[in-house]
Amino acid sequence: MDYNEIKTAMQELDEDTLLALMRKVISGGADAMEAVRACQEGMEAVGQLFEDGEYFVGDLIYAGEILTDALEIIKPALSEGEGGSLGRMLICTVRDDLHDIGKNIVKSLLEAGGFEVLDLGVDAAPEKIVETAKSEGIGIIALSGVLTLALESMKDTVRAFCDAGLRENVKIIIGGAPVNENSAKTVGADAWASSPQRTVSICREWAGG
Amino acid sequence: MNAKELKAGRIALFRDAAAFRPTERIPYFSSAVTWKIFDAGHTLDEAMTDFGIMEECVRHFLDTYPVDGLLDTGIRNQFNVTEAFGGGGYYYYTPDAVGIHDHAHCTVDTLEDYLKDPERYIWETVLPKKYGEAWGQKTREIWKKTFKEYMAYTKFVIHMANVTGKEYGIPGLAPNNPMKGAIQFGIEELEANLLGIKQLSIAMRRNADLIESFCRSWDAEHIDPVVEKVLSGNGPDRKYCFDASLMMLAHNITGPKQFERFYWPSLKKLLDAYAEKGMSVRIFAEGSIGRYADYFKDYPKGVITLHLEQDDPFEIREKLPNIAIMGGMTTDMLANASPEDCVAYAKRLCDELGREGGFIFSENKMLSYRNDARAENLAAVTEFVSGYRPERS
Repeated sequence: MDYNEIKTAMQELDEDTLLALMRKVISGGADAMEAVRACQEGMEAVGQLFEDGEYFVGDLIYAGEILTDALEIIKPALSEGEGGSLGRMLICTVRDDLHDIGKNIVKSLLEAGGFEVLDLGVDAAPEKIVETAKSEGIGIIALSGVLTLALESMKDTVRAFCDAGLRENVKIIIGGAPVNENSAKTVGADAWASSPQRTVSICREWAGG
Repeated sequence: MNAKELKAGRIALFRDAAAFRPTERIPYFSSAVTWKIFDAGHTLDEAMTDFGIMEECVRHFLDTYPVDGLLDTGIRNQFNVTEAFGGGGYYYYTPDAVGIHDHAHCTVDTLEDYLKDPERYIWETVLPKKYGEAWGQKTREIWKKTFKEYMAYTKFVIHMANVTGKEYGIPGLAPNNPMKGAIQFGIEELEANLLGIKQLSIAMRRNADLIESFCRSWDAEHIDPVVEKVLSGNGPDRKYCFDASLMMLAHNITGPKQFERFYWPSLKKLLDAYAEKGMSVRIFAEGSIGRYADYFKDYPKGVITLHLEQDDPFEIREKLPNIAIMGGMTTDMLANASPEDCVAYAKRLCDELGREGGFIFSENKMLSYRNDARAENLAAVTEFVSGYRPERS
């Protein structure tokens, strides 16, 4: 099995080829984890192509969709508990904001990048984020939002970590349409990102990956 | 100067700025929407269900910030009609926020059903889905109450046009679509209502022929009649700041080939018609339009004004010296910077973008939420722009 073909099909968003290769992995008894790794590498390449202006938002959404379909095919061949090698992190769209497309794209790339991502969905209240981070022992938090209103919720979330005495225990990254260097300062986040790939790079650094 | 003269002067100012003709000052078109409500000391739920409060908020804004144009005269996001019908469906509002839940009226498989008979599809499929069980329980009384509220809302729309136009001299942005509703492109309808961003992104790859065929059918029904009206009309309508106002959002998810195939044919035929008649079009380019700049480079000055959101206005001016720019003032600065810094940036915008004409000052995003701007910053910027006389080269 040439796992590079899987990577290439993922990178080129060649759905038919990718899914056929995944079926071949199952029927031919190839290494399912190697196939997952190849998908992840392909997905990383997709993120880089977005960063380089070769792919666009619709391509990232499509990439996430075919990655999910591909992994679904080989799921039966994967052992239980084979999660992300870089550990767990948390992602959500913050309170009062219901936009989840950007968050889901970033989640796909973080998973492809080696993280096990706990997704709190949309409209996530600061208390819920803090509580989950505490109970699950999570140290990296990614906050997403599209509305300018989200910046307030991001600020409230950072404040909630401070109030809970946990600010030193977590690294917080923010992203989304209204986010920039200034807003990151105002929010009190540790970092901000203008692209999914940048988010992955920063989180990897934090995780020592 | 009375309100009528003021309004006429402002229309001329907007039209001259859009056409790169010399103007005495830079016009300010404000994108303040629901922020006006907070600034007047109210909450969203109060103003969105009470015409009197909403009018008070609009008056407060125009009394405090004497801008030349206003995107919303208090008529967006009024919930009396939907409340009377038993709830907003996809829409929601709280004291601090208003929004819309993600929704899609069709799947790829049902798009053709929609195209065959949109009214039937909406009545039999969309509305039952939107209202769930409640759809079957809409009594005659509920329909009558809703219709009554709709008529009251219509009166309010006319009333606010009179308040802003006849009392404050604020001109209308653009005339109504010569056909019906707002001018909407097929790809935009697919993204906003029929498929949603996710389904459309996937369908543009998996079902490209279907999406293209939908867009061309949509053109035949919704765009071609507008083109015909424009071409057979008398040209510019000088009762408004622009001859048309278009919204673009779907270009953010397309790649260049998809834009070329699904979007550009519809947009081009409309822009070409307006250009042929020497008419002026404002395009609100949500997100970023920069990567499609080449498509606009051959239109003569005066046809297109791009209202920018995330693009750098200085870069767009470099790329498109033939296109007027609207926007520039970032809500980020209005919310977080000092009044002095806001004014310094406003001056840079006016000097660098307005020196040769072709610039209309505005915010880069709609002012929607409480913290989207500080009142003192907006006041400082409004005062500066209205009094500033940029150097002409």
